[in-house]
Amino acid sequence: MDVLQQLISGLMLGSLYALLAVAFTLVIGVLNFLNFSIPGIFMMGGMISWGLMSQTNMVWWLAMAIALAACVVASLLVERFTYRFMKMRFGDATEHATPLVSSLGFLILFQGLVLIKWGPEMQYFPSPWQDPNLRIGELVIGLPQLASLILALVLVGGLSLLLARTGLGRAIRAIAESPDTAAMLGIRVNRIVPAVFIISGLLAGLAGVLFSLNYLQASPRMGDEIATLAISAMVLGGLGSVWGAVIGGLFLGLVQVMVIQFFGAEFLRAILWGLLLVIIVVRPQGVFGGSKISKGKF
Amino acid sequence: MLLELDNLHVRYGRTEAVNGVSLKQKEGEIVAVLGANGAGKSSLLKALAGIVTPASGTIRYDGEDITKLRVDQRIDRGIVLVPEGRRILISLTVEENLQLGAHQRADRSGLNDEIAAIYDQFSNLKERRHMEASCLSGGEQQMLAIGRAMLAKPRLMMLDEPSLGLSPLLVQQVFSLISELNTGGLSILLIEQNTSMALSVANHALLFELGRTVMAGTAEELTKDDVLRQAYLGG
Repeated sequence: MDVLQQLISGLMLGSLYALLAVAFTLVIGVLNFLNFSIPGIFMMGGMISWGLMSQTNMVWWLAMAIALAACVVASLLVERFTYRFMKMRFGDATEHATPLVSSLGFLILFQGLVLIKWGPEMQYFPSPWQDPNLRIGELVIGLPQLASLILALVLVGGLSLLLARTGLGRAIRAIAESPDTAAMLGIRVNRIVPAVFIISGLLAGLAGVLFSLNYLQASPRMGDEIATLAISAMVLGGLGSVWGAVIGGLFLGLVQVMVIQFFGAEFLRAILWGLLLVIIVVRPQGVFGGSKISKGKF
Repeated sequence: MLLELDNLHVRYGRTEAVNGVSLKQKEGEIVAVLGANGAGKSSLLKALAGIVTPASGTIRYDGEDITKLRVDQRIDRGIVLVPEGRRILISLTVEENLQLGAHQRADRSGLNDEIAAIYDQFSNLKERRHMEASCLSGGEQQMLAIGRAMLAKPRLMMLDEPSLGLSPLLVQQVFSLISELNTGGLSILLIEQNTSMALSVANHALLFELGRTVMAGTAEELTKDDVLRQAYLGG
């Protein structure tokens, strides 16, 4: 029973990694751009909803909706001043490291703004539920955990349908393969690329809200460690593969709880990162990547 | 006039790729632009499609100045490019490539029938419709590129080196397809290094050298021209 309980917790933790990993992998897959501002957007999802709830007594769902809207705006700002800026200046943004570095600048900016506004302390995140736990026999399932898992699967399912079946998805995949060809075919690349950032920002912000709901805390640095895990999940799954990122995320969540269960928390980092190192050495293209080491396409 | 170019210049930095070209094309005509590699033919076509912005000069289409319109706005008006090297998206399926041709069409009624008509014409594409386009041969990719352009409902189709890299048999097929499309009423602007094939289907032709028109006339006139015969038709 204990193992089953841990299995469920692992999957639910993993779903947070998965959401964040998909946020990363989408931008890499389409634009070959590792967007380092994503942990900042994740953090703003948690901090802004906390700030609105605790300081203006706003009802939780409205606070979270506003926080998510702020995350989308932040993501569009990043698009405008990193990717699009390079594209306008140099005609191509995918072969340069500059957008990556400027996105790191945005991460520092986002964290700095939150620090100025609310300080560096870890904040208690109020739970919207009286009793956040669902009990089935001896199993205890946290409602926020359940919400994370269901939302992650539904959103990623929706995203892959969007990519596979709609005109927008087709245009996104065309841009992912060749922005020049897409432009020649009359696809308005500058209209489509922001859509990618909107989706990515929304997923990152939502992961931040769900993280805060799960752990009842928010802090300006809450995105740092989880983002390294999300990037690892993405690499595990193969760059640019949406379902690869999901499976990588769930896998890391499972490994994390199992290591704590069987070896103890003090071994967590050594085993987790050691395992990742081994996997990357054995299979550098990721478990679900193609035969060649991916530059990061779907 | 369907298409009228007046003193068009295209520059890349300091390089003058198209150096003052004027051209007139009537509806229903095939016009061929001939010339060696690097003569500026592709740059001309890119300027017409809206992919590069001309440094100066005007492009009029059906009486309207379209010099500053975007690619998608020109496609809306029926100016559709079949690019050099075909530019098939190999990670997408054959059918998705076809659908991309129609991706911005407002009127999507009849699209499925049009796709079915293309499959009737090219059975190889139909067999592979749900496979990645990377599985197609060069000839099949050219047919796919032309099919994709057809789905944009073109009035003026511009083909950039459609015979490039194809076997003589396939070149024949591509050119008979071009004639067939033209018989159906489509105006065609064709860029070719295969001078004899291009002249065999064209009404009018221009010879390009270093971004300038050095010779222009009906296809018969150019076919009989001694200079052209020696330089481009092998004597």
